[in-house]
Amino acid sequence: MEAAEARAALARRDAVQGVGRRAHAEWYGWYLLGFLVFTLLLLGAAAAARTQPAVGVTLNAVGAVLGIAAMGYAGTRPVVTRDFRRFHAVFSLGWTVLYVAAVVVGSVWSGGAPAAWWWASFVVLGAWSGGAALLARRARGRR
Amino acid sequence: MSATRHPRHRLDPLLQSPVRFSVMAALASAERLEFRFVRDAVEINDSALSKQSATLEEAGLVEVEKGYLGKRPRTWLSATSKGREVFQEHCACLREIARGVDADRLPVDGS
Repeated sequence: MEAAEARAALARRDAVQGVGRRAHAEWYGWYLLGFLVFTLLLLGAAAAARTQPAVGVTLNAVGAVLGIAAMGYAGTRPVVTRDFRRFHAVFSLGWTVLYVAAVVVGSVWSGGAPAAWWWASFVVLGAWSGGAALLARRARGRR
Repeated sequence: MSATRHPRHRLDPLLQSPVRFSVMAALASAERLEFRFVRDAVEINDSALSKQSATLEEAGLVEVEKGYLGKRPRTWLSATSKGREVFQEHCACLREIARGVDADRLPVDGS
């Protein structure tokens, strides 16, 4: 094999990989932006509504639905880039920490909210994780 | 005799086919790709991709998954960890060759 052939092969590799990256880029950009906006919204709401943990709980319930939907939608895309699931897991974990913090801190600020907030948090997180796992399995063709 | 071998000897024979190389290139950068996407990215037809992906699957470089999206059948392709390693090594050899290693000046074992 000549150097020119090798360079052509490497250029072909870059071109093919570029097609995949471009196909994923737009949706992935929206995904990241959505996560960022929602996280900022959550933090802002938790700070603004200190005595109302329900705000944090509600926002996180919405976040859970969005997280599951994002995972489900990712499974329908023709391109799933490497490390996407890892990114999703890390972001979901970060959100989980924020969620629990909102509930716990919210409860403290509200002077001892009912322990139901705790259970509610676990129910939502369970639904989030279970739903995401189910969708991931379905998207991979395992029913 | 010398232990120095031209990098072309380390190229994977399976990946010397431009189509198989392109399929592996697409798959190496993704977790998984839909069959139709690979077909369009590599610019081949269904039967050619089926044939080449079966060859790559037999060699353990690619995994083919069949499933459904709603009621529609879908086929997904992904590179195995062995496939990624082989592709990386193949590309490393290509880079060495592309850097201008002169085959005539490198002694090669037994050839």
